[in-house]
Amino acid sequence: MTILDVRDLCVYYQTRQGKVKAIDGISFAIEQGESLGLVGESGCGKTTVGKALLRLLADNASIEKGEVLFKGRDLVRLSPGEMRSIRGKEIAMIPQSAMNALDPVYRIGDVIREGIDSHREIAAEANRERVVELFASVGLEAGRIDDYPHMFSGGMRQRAVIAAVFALRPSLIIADEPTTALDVIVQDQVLRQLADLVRQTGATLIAITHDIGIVAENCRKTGVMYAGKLVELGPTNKVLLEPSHPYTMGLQNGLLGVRDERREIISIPGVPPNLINPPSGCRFHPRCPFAAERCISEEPALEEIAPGRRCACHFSPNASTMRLEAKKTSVWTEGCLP
Amino acid sequence: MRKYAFRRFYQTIIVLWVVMTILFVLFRMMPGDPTSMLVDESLDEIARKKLLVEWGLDAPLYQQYLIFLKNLVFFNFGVSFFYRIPVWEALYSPLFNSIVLMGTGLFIAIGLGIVSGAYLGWKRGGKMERFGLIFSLMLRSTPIFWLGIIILMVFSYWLALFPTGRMRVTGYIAANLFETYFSMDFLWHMALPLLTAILHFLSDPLLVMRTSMLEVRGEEFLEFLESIGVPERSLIRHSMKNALLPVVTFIALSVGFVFGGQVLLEVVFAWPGMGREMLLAIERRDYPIAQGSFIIMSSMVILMNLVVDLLYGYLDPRIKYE
Amino acid sequence: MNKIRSSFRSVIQFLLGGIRILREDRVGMVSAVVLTFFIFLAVAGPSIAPYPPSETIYLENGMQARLLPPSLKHPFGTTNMGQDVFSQTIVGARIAVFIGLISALFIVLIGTNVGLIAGYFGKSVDDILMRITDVAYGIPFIPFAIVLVTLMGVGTLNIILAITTLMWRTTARVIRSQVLSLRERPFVWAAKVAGAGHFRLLYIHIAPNVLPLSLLYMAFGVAWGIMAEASLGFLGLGDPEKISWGQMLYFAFRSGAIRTAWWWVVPPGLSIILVVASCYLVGRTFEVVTNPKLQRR
Repeated sequence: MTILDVRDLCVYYQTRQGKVKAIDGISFAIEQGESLGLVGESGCGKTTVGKALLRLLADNASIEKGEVLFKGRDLVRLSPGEMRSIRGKEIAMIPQSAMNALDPVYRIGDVIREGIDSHREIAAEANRERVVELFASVGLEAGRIDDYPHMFSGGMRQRAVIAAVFALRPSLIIADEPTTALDVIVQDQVLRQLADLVRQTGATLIAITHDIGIVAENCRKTGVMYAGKLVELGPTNKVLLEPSHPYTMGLQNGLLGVRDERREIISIPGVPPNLINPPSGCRFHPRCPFAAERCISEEPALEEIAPGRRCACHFSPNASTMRLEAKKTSVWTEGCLP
Repeated sequence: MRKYAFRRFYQTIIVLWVVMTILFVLFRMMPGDPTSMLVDESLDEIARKKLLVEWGLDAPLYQQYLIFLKNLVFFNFGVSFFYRIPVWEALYSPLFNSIVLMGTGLFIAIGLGIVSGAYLGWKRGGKMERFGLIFSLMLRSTPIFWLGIIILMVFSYWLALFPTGRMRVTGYIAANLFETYFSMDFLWHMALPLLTAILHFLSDPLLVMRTSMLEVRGEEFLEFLESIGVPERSLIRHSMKNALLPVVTFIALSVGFVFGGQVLLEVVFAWPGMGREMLLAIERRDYPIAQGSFIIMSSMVILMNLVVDLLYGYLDPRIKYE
Repeated sequence: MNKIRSSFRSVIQFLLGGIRILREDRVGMVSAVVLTFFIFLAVAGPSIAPYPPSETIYLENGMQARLLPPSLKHPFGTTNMGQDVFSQTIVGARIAVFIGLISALFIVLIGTNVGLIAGYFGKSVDDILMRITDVAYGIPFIPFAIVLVTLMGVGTLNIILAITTLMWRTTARVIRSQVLSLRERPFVWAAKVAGAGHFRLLYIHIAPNVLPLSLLYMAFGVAWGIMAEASLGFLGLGDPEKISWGQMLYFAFRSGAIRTAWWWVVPPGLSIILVVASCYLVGRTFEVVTNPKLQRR
């Protein structure tokens, strides 16, 4: 059952310099129980997608166009009150920095309880037991629910946040950069905990991250974003091992496995574009080694190139050739259009 | 918390001691010979001798200092030239009168200020914020005595709604303590000075709370709370509790100004409080009262600072549970 | 030498940046204009006042022009001694601005240095300096000023002394907190490693970074100084040879004229409000620079 269907979503930020088109026409759908990873460079708009789904955008941002159909209801059209009752209960987000996500002057247990209370699910007494349960599910001791955030280490805070998010067993969990600011060992533990909980509750997961490794391990589907657009979408193993979009191919080059042959890491030349005045046609064309005339004038649509796979490139039929070319350094350093 | 409280406590003792020493030096420097500081010329020989001994005025200065300190501990500030009773006795009621007026005023002003500051800080933009800001700024820039005069002019002289000063009608004799301070007459007399005090002390807590709220508003924990579905009124509550901490520190600072503004306010409304008493004492050259009232006012400021610091330590869990 | 020159340059840059910010912020601009106007009054006051402020004016019939309400001849009316209130108000600016500026300067000098030294050296130096600051906080200003002026006599210098002796305390605390957080920054550490001694580190590296905050408190200092001077004037502790707004209110109050002579009461009060509010507003414009968190999200 399709739990989330995003259609042509556009989110623009109003700034002094102009309107920043952070997301400009994104469409994708997820089935219940699936896990989708959204990857891209900083500034590509992926965090905005997460915030837009919960309608927690900043004051100067607005959803200009599009629909977000969650279990059939369009979230964009809901009133603030209706949206509030969805947050935490049906959809919840694990924030980027758990360090600061907990109110320093309230006890952690009280914060979690408040989240539950806001939806009047359970009677007050049961709440305390529920919090103890939640703590146990993320590997935290029951005795510590009355602690204040500053008494917890970074990893523990992240786990407490995850406990708070899963409290009401939402059907959709958005994890925004779930492991930034954590050291590698703790990262692993936290991710493991998250994966377990997702599996146990049958929740649908959207993982927003720039770390392809996380997506590779945890997500069945992957979506690649660039400059506010979705450029490729499909099963993770296909997207990562056989990318169809030049940008994804470029990202691939940045990854070096332990067993791969020694080679130079090739980076994509240039910088992500300004989103107030994005490039015409395909937004990647200034940096793309395979760009042609058509790419400057015509914007490619996100089309289905194989069952379950979509790509926004005029030359996607030539994907296999491009893939081989993309592995060569010379292709990236000289072949781009000015 | 205990370590924090203990540290604050012993710091307060040191500060008290230094301030008293400064007062000692200051008042010894007053015009006239030191004996005239505490001993009235018109007293007879025996009474003079007694006071000389009590204050060690014929002994070297450092001994006088030690005696001074010792007397302080027992609330012995000397005998008033004007009233001819011990200073502490003479200042007892004025002190109470001052506290009643300033305490009530400060309490209401801080309460109102915090609530309106929180509201302004939460609901950014719009006419309300502009108006609130301009209003508080104007209040903050208004001298308390001028505000008092204007209020007096409008409500007392022109509209004849309130009395022109003093604490109660002359010749009033109260049946008991309760009646003294809770009678309609008393409240009627307190109305205008209280209004002035509230207006004057309103602006700072308001502005500080607003700034504090603005800073808290951008904090990530609020966003997280919102994302798990916490309603707006609870979000405001969370913000306020966090925003309150810097405000508490600030209140500690404003406490010091209470005793300054008090003198001015009491002059305008002829309110029989400590500040006015001190001023009159200076005019009358009644040095024991002047010294005594200064000592009392300073001590109160220092003690209030301690209380507020401890309150802050209690409110901030990072300190409370160290 | 180069370092001093570059610190100097960064101060100038900051000031220029400040002027640019003022230009953008209409409110700040207006306040700056108001302040300049009062400074002009302070300088040119006595020359442009229509009447000598302390001179009793006589009417045609030989009587003193007592308590006359505002008219064309006397836009702010006259006092109970027949003096022109308008002229008094203009001349009163001089004492206010003078005392305000000088006290502010000293307050900032003392406060900044105490804050710098306490924050930088820490431990016992910090402890002692902070106790001294606590003492300054423990002494209520007006009673202290009353005693000081009674001791040393009335006079402008004594008022400035009274104000300066206590009011540096807030600046000291604020600068100290700033220094505490700056002390850990890499640029300080880098300079230390390069061999900079304490004096250099403090005044050439750290000080320029707290300068914006100091200037902010200078603006506040002027506001406090003017308020303080007015308060003391109202209590009758001002310099009797000078005209000040607070003193005008002293005479108005004492003579009982406030029952009817609103024209005597309103101008000095409004002048105080205008100048003090402008100081706060100009300061606030700078505050946005030092605390970016306050800028719109």
